[in-house]
Amino acid sequence: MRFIYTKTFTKIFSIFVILAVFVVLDAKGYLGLFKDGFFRVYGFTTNKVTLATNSVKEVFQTFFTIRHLVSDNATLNQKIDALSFDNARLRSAEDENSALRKALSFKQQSQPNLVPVEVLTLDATGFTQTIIIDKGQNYSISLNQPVVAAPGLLVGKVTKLYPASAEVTLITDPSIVVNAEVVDSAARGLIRGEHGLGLTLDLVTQNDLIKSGDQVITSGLSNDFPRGLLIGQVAALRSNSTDLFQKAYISPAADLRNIRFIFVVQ
Amino acid sequence: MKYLIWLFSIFFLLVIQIGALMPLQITAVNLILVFLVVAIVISDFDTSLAIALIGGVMLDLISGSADGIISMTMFSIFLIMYFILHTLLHKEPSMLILFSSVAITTIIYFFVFLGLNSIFLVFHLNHVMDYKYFFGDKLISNLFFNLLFTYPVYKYYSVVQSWVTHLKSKI
Repeated sequence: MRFIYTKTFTKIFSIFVILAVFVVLDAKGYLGLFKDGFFRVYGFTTNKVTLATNSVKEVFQTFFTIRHLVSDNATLNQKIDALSFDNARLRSAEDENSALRKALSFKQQSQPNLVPVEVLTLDATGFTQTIIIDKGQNYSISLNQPVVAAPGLLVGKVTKLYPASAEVTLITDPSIVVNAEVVDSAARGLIRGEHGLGLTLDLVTQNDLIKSGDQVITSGLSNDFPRGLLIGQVAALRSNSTDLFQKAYISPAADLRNIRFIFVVQ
Repeated sequence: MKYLIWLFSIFFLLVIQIGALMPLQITAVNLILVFLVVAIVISDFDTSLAIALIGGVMLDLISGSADGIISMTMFSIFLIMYFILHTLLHKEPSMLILFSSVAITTIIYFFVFLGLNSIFLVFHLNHVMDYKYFFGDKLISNLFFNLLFTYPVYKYYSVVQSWVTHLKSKI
């Protein structure tokens, strides 16, 4: 009997047809409602298991961190004092900036509308750095809107939309490129993800001075991300003076491995 | 009914992978792939085929890649491994065969996925992937963790299979 007349061939062929239909339906966007349903059930179950795992993890972590608590507390108190001072200074500068803008008839900066969302699930395959959030077209979320963790830490952008959920690609995914600016030196470059391992700042001219610890924000040059969202800070430089451009490793400001509640900027 | 049990068992495995292993920073593992290899080694054609399809579709739904790419990868792996193990090798299943199959399948998984990705790229359905990274760090860590979880997944598979057999005998 020839192979094409066997039951095995029929089964294999049927699976091929099912998968082809699946690909076409997804490409045409007809699987939205089905995906929404799956994300709800899967996200709910996964979140319960994650909470249980985290509580067990925290119990064990306490044993290891308890001896550092006193010194950590002192360091954090010092940081609070320094940040409170910075905060007061920046508020005063913001008021002054606002008054000067008014006096010079500049356009006033408006506060963005933030839509709070909850993370349903993460990508399990490791080939992409994506998360699924619990709001979609039903909350007027649209493609390419930036996603931040409070207060203004860049997380990623919306890349796929479904009726009641959406897919967010994290900035650690190589497909996302962000126009960035180093706060102290105003050096500009492009930030690209490195598969969840971190970020790379590239195309910074050799004339600009960048150093470890510098904060990096969105420059607002592209329309994808508004200016001023904190991306992270320079962890290390990875180029020398003979290179055409400077490169640096950036550690993301938001804890992208443990995100649960985030905001879509509208 | 039999396939419904397999569906729930795969769903549970996926929940464990994301809900329990990811918070423990174990991200480079694919329990569904290990589950499929166990099925190919110790089960029949139909069961393995069903697991490849259900597992592939579920992974597709929660992954950021274009839908269908992981299902096709899992299906291709099923065909390749089933042919190797049941036609070429044709030996009684053993732990050595199971562990070596998991190792080989993990490597093939990366090749097939990235091969299919280049086909999907032609139709602008997926992103460009960094091959150097995937065949370097990612493959090694996946290989390690997949082998580490082979025995627990094998035990889990045996439990599910005994439920299916029990249910069959009742019906």
